[in-house]
Amino acid sequence: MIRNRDCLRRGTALWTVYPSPMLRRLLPYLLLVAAAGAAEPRKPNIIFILSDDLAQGDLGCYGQKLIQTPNLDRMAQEGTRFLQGYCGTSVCAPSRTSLMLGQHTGHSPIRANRELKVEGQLPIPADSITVAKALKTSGYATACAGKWGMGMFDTPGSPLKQGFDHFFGYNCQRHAHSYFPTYLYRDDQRFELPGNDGKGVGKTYAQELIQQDVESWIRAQKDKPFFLFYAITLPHARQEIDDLGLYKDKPWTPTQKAYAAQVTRLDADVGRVLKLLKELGLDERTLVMTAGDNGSSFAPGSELGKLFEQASNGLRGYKRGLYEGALRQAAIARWPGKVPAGRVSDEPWAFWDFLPTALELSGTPAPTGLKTDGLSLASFLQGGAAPKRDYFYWELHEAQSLQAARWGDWKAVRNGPAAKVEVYDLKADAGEKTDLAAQRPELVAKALAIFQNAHVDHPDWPMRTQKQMSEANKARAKESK
Amino acid sequence: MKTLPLGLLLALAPFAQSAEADPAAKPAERVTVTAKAKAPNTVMLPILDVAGLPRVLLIGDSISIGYTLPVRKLLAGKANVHRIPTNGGPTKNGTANLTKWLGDGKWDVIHFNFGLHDLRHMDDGSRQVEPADYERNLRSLVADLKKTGAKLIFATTTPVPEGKLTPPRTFGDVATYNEIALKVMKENGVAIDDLNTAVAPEIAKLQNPHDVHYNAAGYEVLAQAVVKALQKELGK
Repeated sequence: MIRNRDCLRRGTALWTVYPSPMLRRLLPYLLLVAAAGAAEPRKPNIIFILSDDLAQGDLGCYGQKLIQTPNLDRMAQEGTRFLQGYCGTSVCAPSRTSLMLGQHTGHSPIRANRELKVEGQLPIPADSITVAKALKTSGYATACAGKWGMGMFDTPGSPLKQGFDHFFGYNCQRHAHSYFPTYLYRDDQRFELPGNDGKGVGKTYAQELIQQDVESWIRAQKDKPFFLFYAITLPHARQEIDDLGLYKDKPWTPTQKAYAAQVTRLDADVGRVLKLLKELGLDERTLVMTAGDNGSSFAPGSELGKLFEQASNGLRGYKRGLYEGALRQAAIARWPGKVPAGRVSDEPWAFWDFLPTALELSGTPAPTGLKTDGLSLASFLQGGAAPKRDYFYWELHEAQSLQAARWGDWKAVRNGPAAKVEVYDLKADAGEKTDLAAQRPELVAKALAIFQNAHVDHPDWPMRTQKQMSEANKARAKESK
Repeated sequence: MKTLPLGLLLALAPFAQSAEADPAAKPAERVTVTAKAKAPNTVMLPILDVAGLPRVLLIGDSISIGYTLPVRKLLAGKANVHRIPTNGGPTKNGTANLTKWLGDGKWDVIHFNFGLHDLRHMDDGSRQVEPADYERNLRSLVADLKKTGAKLIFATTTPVPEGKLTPPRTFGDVATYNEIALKVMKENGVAIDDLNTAVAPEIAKLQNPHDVHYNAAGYEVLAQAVVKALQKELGK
């Protein structure tokens, strides 16, 4: 109603200043706009906050006892928390590609972290249809902050060529290993950070600058709905932080203290975004989703995994594998009045569902040529059931080519093209302890059929054994010399 | 005014729709019309490229805004038809913004016009961009457009009706400005899409009374001409 009256007032003012024949024709148009403005709800803002290498078990709302995460815990109470939100795959670049392109890793152009010299990763192709590109056709302002990892600025994969109006942070994933880097990027312009050597703790903490840029960008979005992809690098290695805070005097190793402080810092920065939305009156107009780019990244018995009981969810596996512990990540959605508060869902969904979800929520028609493997979660997020589907599928081409699939409660994993297929019943055995392959050959056959159906050949990603992968890596290293 | 029924407003809307033109009309241009029965006004929004199709950029003022959607529709499946995200205004606005408008994408064909806003009279009676400056600006624009490697098409400026107009424009100036433009384009080997001639014969049926803008049939005629010119260049 307020906007409606503003519009009328504006129309009247114009009428007074320019009593011209043209304006006389224009006035009904303005009035129509005013009337329509009242009838049509504004398109929702969408913020996707992706954390980096966070384990489900790191957050209080998922059972963490030692690390404080009050903001994310509150966000879960005010929204919906997901126990079976799956990432794209269990390392950074391909998981992000799956999120941005709406494709699983049997189909997407990036299926491993492929490092390029001097800076950056293998770029996504120029004609990729990203969430940002698609939402721009609906009038969204778009920004990416934090870490990109899908192509340097001088490649087709640049965030600024893939639909983002604005970028701030690290383009290259290796560069992002330093929290006190010697430089960052504002859009595609490099700027130096004083007092840092990029090797250890320095004077300028990059995440603070990134957070400040995010806040000022959100403040600047008054006229347009916006999409923000906030890919925070916390709590990924290295374990560097400007302030150990609550954990300074804990009887822990320096790495453990820094890790806990990184997780709490991630939590605080998400809290700052939520507070800002409230301050700007955007709370009920904004869907905020948080998720990890993969599941746990440390072995349960390791320095961090053990102290913080990262595998308290009872799941097997961690980063670079395809067991559940590597794939289920900490995911929360909040949108007051739309996403039910306090709901905890154990229905599965995956990163490649985000693109169709964003299209539906924004009323954006599917772009011509869109090839998504995802299904819209719009109704699921707003209290409905998760969409029904034939299967989920993952690939990863790091040490060797891994494949995994889930259909119903069945999960299949094949740790390399020469390995045998393992089958687990997630309902009875979420920890994937008992391989049923020998007893249930029909499930192995089903898994193989899914693998065949879901895997699309790509020249960069042939299925390779460990030996073949190591030879291919050597050949590539030689070539780039 | 506040009590006008919505139905009446909707009925009036088609007559008002072409009035998206000069800076004075800006508030209306920016807003998306979203009455239930009507498609949103998407003309200013970016489009996504369909892979494998040539990329076309339309540069121009409100006349080009009017023919953008019909051109896009006629070339659906044949070309990715982009436009600048704004009213191009006079040449001086073009020289100030061209780099931004071109972005860093590769263009196969660029179809452009400036003129109606250049020859518009200001409060003091002068024209917004006088002929000598118009020529200089056009030369600068053409030089920059050539650097893109795209095939270039200049669209002639469409007719201004005789009589009093708001904002004021003078009928005879169109010929003067087009003459300048044709000279510059000829020297530079830029193809011509003579939109002026395309609408002139039936102008009374196509143009809104006392206005430089067109009705739906008018924009359709303009779009047909634009498509013909584009296809000629795309086919080369």
